[in-house]
Amino acid sequence: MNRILLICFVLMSALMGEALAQRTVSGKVTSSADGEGLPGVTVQVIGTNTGVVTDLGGNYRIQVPEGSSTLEFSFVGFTSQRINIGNRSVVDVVLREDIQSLEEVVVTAFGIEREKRALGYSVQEVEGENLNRTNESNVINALQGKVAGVNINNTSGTLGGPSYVTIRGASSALGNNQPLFVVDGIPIDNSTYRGPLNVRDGAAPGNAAADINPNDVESINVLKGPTAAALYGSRAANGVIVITTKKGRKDKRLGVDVNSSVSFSRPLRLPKYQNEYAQGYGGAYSIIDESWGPRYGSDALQGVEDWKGETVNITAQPDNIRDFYETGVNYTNSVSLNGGTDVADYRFGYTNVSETGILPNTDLSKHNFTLNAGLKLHEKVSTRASVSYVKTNADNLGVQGQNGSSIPLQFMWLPRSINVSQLRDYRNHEGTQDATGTQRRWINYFENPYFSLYENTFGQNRDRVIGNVTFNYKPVDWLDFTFRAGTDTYSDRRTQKFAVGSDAPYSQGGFYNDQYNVSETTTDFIATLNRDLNEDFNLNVLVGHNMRIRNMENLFLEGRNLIAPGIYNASNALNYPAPVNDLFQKRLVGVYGEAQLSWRDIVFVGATARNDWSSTLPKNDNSFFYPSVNGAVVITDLLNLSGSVVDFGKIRASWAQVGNDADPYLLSTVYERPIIGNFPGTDISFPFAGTPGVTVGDNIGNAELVPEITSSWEIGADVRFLKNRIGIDFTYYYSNTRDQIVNVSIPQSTGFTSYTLNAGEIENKGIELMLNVVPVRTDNFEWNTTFNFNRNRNKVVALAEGLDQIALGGGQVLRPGYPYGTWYQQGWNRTANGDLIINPATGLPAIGGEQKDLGSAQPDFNLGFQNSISYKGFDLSILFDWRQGGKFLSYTNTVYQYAGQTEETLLGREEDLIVEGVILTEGGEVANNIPVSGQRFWKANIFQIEPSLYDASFIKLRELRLGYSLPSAWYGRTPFSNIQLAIIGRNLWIGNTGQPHIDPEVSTYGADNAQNIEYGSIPSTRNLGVNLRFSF
Amino acid sequence: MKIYIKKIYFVFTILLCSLFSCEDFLDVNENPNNPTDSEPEYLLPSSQVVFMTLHHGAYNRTASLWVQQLASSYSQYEEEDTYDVQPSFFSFEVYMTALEDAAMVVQKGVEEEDPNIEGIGRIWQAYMFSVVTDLWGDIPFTDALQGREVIQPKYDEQSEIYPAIIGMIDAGLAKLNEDADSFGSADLIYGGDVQSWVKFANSLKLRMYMRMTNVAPAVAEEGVRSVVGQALITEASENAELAFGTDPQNENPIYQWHADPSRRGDLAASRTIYTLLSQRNDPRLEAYFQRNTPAIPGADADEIIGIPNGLKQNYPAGFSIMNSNLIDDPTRPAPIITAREVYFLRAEAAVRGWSGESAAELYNSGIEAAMNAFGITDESAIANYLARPNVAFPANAGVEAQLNAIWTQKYLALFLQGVEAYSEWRRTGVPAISPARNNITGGEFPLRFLYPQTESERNSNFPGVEQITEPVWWGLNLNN
Repeated sequence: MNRILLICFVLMSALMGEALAQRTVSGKVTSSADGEGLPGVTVQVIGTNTGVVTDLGGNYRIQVPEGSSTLEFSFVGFTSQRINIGNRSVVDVVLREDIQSLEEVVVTAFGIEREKRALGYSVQEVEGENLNRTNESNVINALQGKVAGVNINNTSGTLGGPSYVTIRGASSALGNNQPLFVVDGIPIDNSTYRGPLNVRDGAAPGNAAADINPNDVESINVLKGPTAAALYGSRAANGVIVITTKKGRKDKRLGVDVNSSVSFSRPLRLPKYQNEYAQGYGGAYSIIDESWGPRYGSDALQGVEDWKGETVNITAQPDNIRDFYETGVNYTNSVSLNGGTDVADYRFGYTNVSETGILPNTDLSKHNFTLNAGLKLHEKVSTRASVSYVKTNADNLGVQGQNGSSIPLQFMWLPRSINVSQLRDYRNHEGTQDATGTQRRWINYFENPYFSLYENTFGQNRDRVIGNVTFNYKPVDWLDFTFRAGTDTYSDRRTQKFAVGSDAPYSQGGFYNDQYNVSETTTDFIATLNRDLNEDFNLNVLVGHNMRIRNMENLFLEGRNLIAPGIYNASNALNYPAPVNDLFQKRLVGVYGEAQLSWRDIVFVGATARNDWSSTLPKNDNSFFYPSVNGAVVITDLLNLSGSVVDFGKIRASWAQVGNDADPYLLSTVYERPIIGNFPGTDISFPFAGTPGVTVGDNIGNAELVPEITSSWEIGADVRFLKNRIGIDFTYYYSNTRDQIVNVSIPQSTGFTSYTLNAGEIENKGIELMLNVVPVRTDNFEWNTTFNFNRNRNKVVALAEGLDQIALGGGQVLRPGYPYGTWYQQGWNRTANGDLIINPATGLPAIGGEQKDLGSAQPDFNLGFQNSISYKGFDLSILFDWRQGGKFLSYTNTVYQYAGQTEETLLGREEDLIVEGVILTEGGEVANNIPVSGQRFWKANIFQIEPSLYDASFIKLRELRLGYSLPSAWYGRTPFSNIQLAIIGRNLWIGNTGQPHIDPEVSTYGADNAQNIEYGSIPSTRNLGVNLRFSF
Repeated sequence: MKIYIKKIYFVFTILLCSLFSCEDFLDVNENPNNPTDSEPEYLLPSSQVVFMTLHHGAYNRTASLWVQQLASSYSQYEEEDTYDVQPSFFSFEVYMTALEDAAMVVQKGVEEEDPNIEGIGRIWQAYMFSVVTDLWGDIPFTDALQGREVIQPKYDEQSEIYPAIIGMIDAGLAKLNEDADSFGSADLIYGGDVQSWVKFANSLKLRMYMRMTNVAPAVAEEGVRSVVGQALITEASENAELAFGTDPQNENPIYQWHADPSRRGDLAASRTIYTLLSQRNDPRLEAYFQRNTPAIPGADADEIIGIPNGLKQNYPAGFSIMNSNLIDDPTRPAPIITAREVYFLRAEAAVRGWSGESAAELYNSGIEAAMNAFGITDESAIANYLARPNVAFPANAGVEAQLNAIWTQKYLALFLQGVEAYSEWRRTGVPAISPARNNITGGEFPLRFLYPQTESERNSNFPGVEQITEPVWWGLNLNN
């Protein structure tokens, strides 16, 4: 006891003695943004090792040795300040947020925040603020143009339509190419389920990640390469989008934030129609679904019978389609409550989206409730829970594609002289029923568009809960145990109705209900150790265990031939062809570890390893292991360059592998119920007049599957100059995925359509360049420019032996030596020097000969160009999104040409054309001199690939926001604060496209690997609105 | 590090296994949705129904248009009707469905040593292959249906496929055994009756040997001689047919096309068959077609009107659709091989001197059977018809005139058996028809189906596009 006292005394004396040569300086560090105290700011006496950290209120107290007079205040995300304190004993400091270094802390695997400088791989962050500038409700679309290397296609103007996102190109031949979405550490589902039956082809329900409300997002970190993602395991091979939701502020006061907007949408682009020739064929008027009739004003159009049987003069209807589309209206209202104390914080958010589409009678509403709360139970134990409930409801989304109720399909065949508004009365009145039943049609083969939209509705109803709980135990400050369990569970039900009088097979009415019950449950147990080994070295080790259970159940019930019209209930149909009741289960167990060693915060090396056991691989061989290594060096600190022109410079490099397992049940061939189509009738199926039947399934299973492996490396540099006014982040990456698990499409003559095997190798390489410039920065005025550039080169290296190519869909194939999604098909017959070969019998060129490369969907580059300007209370943000190169296939265009609807078909109407080309004769090539009518010429292109391919380039004015923060003096006495008004716009302009009719970004396949394919898509929209935000 | 990780593995594996058995946790990959094995009793009906849906449905329609028994009245089928077809119009789904299921029936029959399962399976598969090669010419045959063993099947020449199919029939016949177990009701054609399958097999061989008369006359003669005296289908009750059902998913394909009122007028009587029938005052004209033409206002409602093929617009006078008996009965059976066809084959054999039978009798029996098949049973009406100068068998004329008479009557008999009518027309050139109007082939006839797009996309052994205007091996080149 005495001994202890003695030691204490000696220590105290020593401290007292020290104190004699020191003085105490104290003060408060606050943030320039909100004036609140900043906890955790490092206060360092320059030239010494003395340093302290501010407390929760931002207060500090530091002993400054004699002879020292400069303090440095530094905090991640803020510009460091050095202050000569002179003789002052109280020094209050306001730190300004450093826009350049806001990304300094990034969220990496498992929600672990890491200093960006320590990473040997590329991670790019988008803050919630930047994400949500225009109140786009689909979080994926809100990322467009904001992250280099991330390619996003939002696929049509369908309300809530799907978006397809890839990072650094497609790497999986036929599997999933989209990144993993992780919300607060728990992977969520981003599937776009579309059933296998033809009837379901027309609908484009949205992808599941769209349920994340951008208003609730604190930040999104995009982990681009496998290194960043390796710890997440199998599904991270395509990168990870890590979403961190907002938490409550540690502020005892209750804060309320309100964000409201209303915006209006119109079609961004409609086809350029011809308005000179009427309905008809061969120059003569007739009731037909084409516009090759007489010129308006000619006698042939006077006093003729129209589709209604009335005698009229046929006139041009230049706006018949434009006027059909309505102005869509979107109301998004969001309110959040938040607050907290030192031991607890919470945030509750509610967002309501209510919108109507450009198609009449389409709508979508969404309610999103989110609660995120944290509680410190004990000094060493804390817990956090977050839960979101999202309800999406649409009475009618409208359908597209080849579905009989698809408006775009109907319009392709709608003659230019038909006044669509005359179809608004879409039922035949009693006593005048014609052979087509109760639907009032202008021609037998097409539905009345109003009938389609008001009677044959396609609705969607999704209830979803995403939630997780985290327990954290920190026995000592260098050791941390975290257990996290989370789930994403939803039920997604689509309901299509077919009223009596619809096209076959629903002439007597019908419906289908297509329901998906999806649940994904994940647990992680993670231990982290973070120790300074000595003054120079710090070691950070993580080990973890992961379990994942994923279930998907599909219930599909189609009913045909209603007993009582208008009742779309399973008890009210006569027939139920091919119900589906499928369950898919998948489970995975993984263990993983990571070690990071750093030297003086200047040199960093790290390694990760993970081993997974998957239920979907062969039982005896279901384990797979994959490692990664990475390193980074902060050159500026290593060479002590601080203070020079270069503020910061870092180089980094990494290498990683990620393994990926298979989908369930691919190991064996199965037997199925036979179904065979009988166009234009119904499918023929079993039981057949009481006799049961089964057929050998279409896919050949494979009991020898091995996991697919993606190997990747990247090098990069991050450099900032001129007081962080210029920042450049550059990455070169290469990745290669081999042993791909694919259901290879094989010729039907094998007796099957596909075969599951490990086939092929695909590589991606490219560069990402992020350039951030602040051309002007004054007290009142700041102009910030960001470029996000990506150029990806994709190549299919090899396929399975004996396999020349794999069909992807829409004529796209995978073929060694060519990029993913190349149209390798027969094209126009041409001579050696490229002249079209004309068929002397027709005067037209013909498709034939060898298959060849007609182009691919891969763009040359993507560039996002964002400018934000703030001047006093005003802020202006403009984002351009430029995609250059690649092809897209539009059958819509060639169908329009076939039917003589678009303006190019004016060519050759009055006088025949002579197609430029040659005729092969025995005497050699002769210039073509055979006239053909324009009608024949334009009809030759339909559903042919080469004439339907167009340049896929575009530049879009993706986002525009002009905001004004009301001076607080105006409302200083009210409880309100931070009142902002803004004009917001999305997709306001499009240019640089290869054809004038269709937005090349749309894709009828939706979120599918076959991209840039369009046939009968609903036009994309341009949106303009106003936004109001305030707090109290 | 590795050792460390291994320790961690160990700890966690223990931890995990204390909660669940590891094996059990991951043991969820048994497919709960579909079986992984089946029985011939379920596979044969699948094969029969699917094949006859294609054969009586899509194949029949295109063939009937091209052989001008039907014509496209509205634009629904105007591409086919003007020979303006694309590879995407055609499909080899027959391989992955009907043919694969039959192959599995044969395999199960061999494995389980069930001679009738194997035998019926082989004969049925041979029949289907004969139809597929008749339509497409050279097709994947020896390499076909091998699944993962051959994922890029090569194409065999039709001249080699024909004898191979006949070999399959013989192999099947050799297995058939009346004393052994057979299919029961699962055989939707013959209820597993072995003797009926013997007759079917022989009749099929007769058809196939006769098909080779242009290109392998010696083989044809020898084959016909060998089979013409065997048990053949001679009675309507022995006809190979597949009856459809009343459930919407079991209906006759042609019925289905007409079930939707808006589709009812898509297919009309072709002027070619209309002319041949009306020239003979043939009672089948009324049995095949309807008088009224409901869709065309102002047309004469009391005429049967045949319209030219390839018209691409409404015919001003209207048109006739098929008789209500043919399109309003969902269960109407699809013929496969019938006694009437066999009579005409035997008549031809007799004319060629390959049998001792009476050509005239067989010819008359064929016509009578054909009339009966379409509900014309009035014997005096049939007798009157048979006595008409342009119908009566030209017993005293030359072989060519006799064959012409037989082939013409066969063409008239094979209504709604478009595939066989089309094949026989391609073999014989009878009746003489003119190319469809507005054809895009420069006046050439379509003499085969196009290979489907899936083959050119997926099969590296795809031999290249054969234009529809190229004849198949056994066919006449009607485009010269």
